[in-house]
Amino acid sequence: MKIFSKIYPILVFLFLYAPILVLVIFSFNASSSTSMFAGFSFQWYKTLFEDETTFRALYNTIILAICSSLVATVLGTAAAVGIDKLKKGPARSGIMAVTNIPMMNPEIVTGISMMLLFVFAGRLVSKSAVLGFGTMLIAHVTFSLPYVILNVLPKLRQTDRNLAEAAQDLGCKPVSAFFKVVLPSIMPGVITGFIMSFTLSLDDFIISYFTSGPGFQTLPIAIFSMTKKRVKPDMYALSAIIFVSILVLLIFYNIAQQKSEDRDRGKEKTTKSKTFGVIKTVVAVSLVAAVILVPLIVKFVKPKTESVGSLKGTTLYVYNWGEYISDGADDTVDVIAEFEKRFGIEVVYDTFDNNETMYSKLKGGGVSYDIVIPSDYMIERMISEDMLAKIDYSNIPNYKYIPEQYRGLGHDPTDEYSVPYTVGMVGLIYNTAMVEEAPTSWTALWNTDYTGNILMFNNPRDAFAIAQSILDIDYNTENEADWNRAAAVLKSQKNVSPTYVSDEVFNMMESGEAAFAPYYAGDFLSMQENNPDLALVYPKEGVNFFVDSICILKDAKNKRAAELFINFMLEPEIALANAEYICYASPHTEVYSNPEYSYYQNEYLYPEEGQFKTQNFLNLSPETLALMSSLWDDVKNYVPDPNDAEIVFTPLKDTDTDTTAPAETVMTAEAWQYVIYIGIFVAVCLAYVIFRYARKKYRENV
Amino acid sequence: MKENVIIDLKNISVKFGDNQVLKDLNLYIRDKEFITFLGPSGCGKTTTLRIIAGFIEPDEGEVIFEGKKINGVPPHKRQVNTIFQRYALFPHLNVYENVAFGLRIKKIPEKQIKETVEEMLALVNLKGFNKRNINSLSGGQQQRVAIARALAVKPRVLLLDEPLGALDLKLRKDMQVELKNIQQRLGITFIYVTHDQEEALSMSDTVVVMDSGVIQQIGTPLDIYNEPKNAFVADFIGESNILDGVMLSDGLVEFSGARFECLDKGFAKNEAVDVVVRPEDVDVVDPQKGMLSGEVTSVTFKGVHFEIIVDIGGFKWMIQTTDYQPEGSVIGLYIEPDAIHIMKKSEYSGIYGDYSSFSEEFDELSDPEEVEEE
Repeated sequence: MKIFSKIYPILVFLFLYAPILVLVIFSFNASSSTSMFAGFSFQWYKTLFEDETTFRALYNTIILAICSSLVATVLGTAAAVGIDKLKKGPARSGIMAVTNIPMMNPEIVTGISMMLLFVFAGRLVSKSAVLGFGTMLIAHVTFSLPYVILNVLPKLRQTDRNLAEAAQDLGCKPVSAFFKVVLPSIMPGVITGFIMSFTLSLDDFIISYFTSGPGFQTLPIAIFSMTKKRVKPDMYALSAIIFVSILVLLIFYNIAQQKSEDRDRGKEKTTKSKTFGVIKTVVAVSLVAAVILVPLIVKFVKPKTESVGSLKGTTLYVYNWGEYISDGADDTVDVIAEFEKRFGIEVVYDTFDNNETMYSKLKGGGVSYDIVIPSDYMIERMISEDMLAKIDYSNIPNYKYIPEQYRGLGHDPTDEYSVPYTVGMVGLIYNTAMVEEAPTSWTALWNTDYTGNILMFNNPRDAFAIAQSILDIDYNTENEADWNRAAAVLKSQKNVSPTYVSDEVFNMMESGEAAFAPYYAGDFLSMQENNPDLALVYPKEGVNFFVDSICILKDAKNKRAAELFINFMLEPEIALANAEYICYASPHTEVYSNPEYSYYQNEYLYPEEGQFKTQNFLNLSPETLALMSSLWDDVKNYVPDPNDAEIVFTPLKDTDTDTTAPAETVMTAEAWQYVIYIGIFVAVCLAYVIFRYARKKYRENV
Repeated sequence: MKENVIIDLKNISVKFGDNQVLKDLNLYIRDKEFITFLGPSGCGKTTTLRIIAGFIEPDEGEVIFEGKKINGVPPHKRQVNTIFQRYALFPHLNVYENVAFGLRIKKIPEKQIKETVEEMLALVNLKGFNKRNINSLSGGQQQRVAIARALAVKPRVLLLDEPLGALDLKLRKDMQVELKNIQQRLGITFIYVTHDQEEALSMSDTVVVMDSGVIQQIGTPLDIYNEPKNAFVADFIGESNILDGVMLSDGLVEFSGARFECLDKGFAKNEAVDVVVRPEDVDVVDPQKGMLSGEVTSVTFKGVHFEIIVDIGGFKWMIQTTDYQPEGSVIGLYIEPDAIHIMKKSEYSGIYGDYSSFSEEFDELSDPEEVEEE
């Protein structure tokens, strides 16, 4: 038995801390690979501090966490005091049950129901874009409230019931008796509750996701939306910083707890612990101050520029994929900042991680954007559902840079709704160290010589497209028999035991674990940087070709600025900066014919035309989508594999959006207000601490 | 008659839900008096105290402080201070700050606060404990801090709610003496609540015996002990043999089948009465010489004396004597006329029987800690 008691802590440490240790180590990795350590470097920390989007998100997260945990702590403490006064009985147990429900309730339910409530309430006061900082604040307060109550209640139970009366007896008014006597004695519980709600708010994703609105993205949402490309190593750096901060917070908290226990046991205060107390206060205050002031300074230092035009001072809401615009990191152009500077239009920029998420967010109501950048089939769907506005191409003279081949594509045949932003193709990536002869066909993915070394798309549309290429079936077929045939082909792939992957493809190909993988050519380039053995071919059967285009939403409030933005994005130098940053092929003549472009005539991004067939995805009918989804389940379960579970984002029910609502006030301004409030709060706290200290000194000296 | 009255309670009634806690209570308290509310759990003594402190508003009746009605005046504006059962010291403040608390609320100059606190700590023998933490103190020390804290604000009246209940016996006795000294030295009114009759008798100027929300008797400790008004008081204060008797005439009473001379007068002829004989007032004699005789059924050594249970005609008497009497022996009892106390019949008559079911544990069980009366 003894040996178990020794092994147990070791195992706990291993399981709990090994991942974090790896994270911290890789945050200092000189390369961007997630599998090989290429040397020590601070570059990701540098990148992190240069990335304004991330910083904004971090800043939002902290503001939200501070505000929500403060509100939850105040409300929760008040509630606990009330509950404590209740006599034991049905009323009390009823209230406790109600209190506990938000903790038991699945987050997804809380999130969706909150979103519905907010949107519904917004309708009532005819406010279309109701989601934002306020709604997130309410949501976060709601889910952290029970934790505060549950931390404060036991402390109340421990305190002498007569404390408040004793204070009143000595001349205190009832309210001041509470603050002078009861609150200090339940303080440990209040602080624990605050810390818990703070950390809960900090990392909440699901509820935040449903209740967030334009202009106020928190870090978890921002990181999640990066999965279009991949999680960049600067996120490791950020995670490491957050972890260390929380660790420091916890250590301080534990020391404080220890001290209060010592006090309870009656140990005298030593000079050492006193000095330590002062240091602790200073560190805590400066930490909070730093967290609040740093972004503030960043914000103020940012140049404010003069510009002309009636659009100056307006706001443009942009909804784009994560990591899908040049953001100023590593001496690139900060496109958004450049646009703001040039036109004096403020850009509120939010990101999403896939077309379906974006669609359901827009359909759900409660948010309102001007610009959105969906993929082809989604554009078709949004046009058919009347979500997009017709673009006035006369306002976009730079449209001339879009060559004929990218105009009039299937999803927008009449060129009325979209302007191509990036294009790309799916290719077959292979590892030359494992594969001797370059493959020419998708059937390489069925080659039993490479059993166990083959990767496959873990999403039905892309996976079926490969099978459809092999069978020479149209990707967008509505014929059930065609889909069944494709499914049979995919099932037969089970012979080579393919690994179904999404983002993991980067790691597995870079580390040379797999021989073949189908993936996007743009992403292949970044894999190749980390593993020069990799190569890509476009199989002869044909490949999926996709376009992500810039569109204007039907309920855009600032359509003129949106067109200005599209035109700006097509400016040759801006388009070049974006193409360099995103690594996908550009549909812009001045970019791909520019000899200075890093991927000028790149064989992978810009292969010679006519060698293989290309098709793009169009919107499928709901019946076909359902069929595809169920067939995909069959494929995945063909050889039962319990580790795989498919997550399908089901679009929310249709709700019509209110287009007549007046322009909303800018969320960022609202957030600023809160910053000021918090600043005042911190200042008051500081002043109070100083006052207390001075008073103590004075009293000692009398 | 009502000279120096500081607090006057008139026709006070309090109900908690369906529970009538105080019934039409009338009581006045003289200045500088040490008065004790004595009674079993739930008798309303703490409620009366809390009414004076201002934590409970009576449903009916008037609370008068120095001639002024103070119904509705909140606790923090009353010139009374309370020492709570579990002291209710402020755990986040040290000894000095606890004592200084009330003075700080009054915004007294810092220098004066310091003087007062030092004075109070000296009064309760806690010099040098200034910086000590509350939780590092023993029960007795905490008790002293609570006293110092309440006295520091110079109250006219100090309310003490079973302040010694949590202390062990030795400490309790010491504190009783100390409290009495403090009261006499400072000359302020103490209103003391306890269920411990010994405490009440040894400290008080006046004892108020309460039961079921009604005052049973008010008097000096001696009066209460020697002249209990009814069976409840007789039973609650000390040990008593309470017998059914008949008053044959003034100075002559019949009980246990025998006639006894007594000093009590003023009863109707042949009135049924309760007769109280204290165990220590009975002399043990030879069976032939005794006015009554019976068989010893149990003997307990108590240190100073033996406690003997004697069966006389089916009624179990308790007798305290210094002479050992073996179990099973037959003894005679002799009772002096002044050892007999006659009481009128009351609602309590017959409830307190003989000592047939008496045991030490039983006695202790009937003294549970005062439950919350809210």
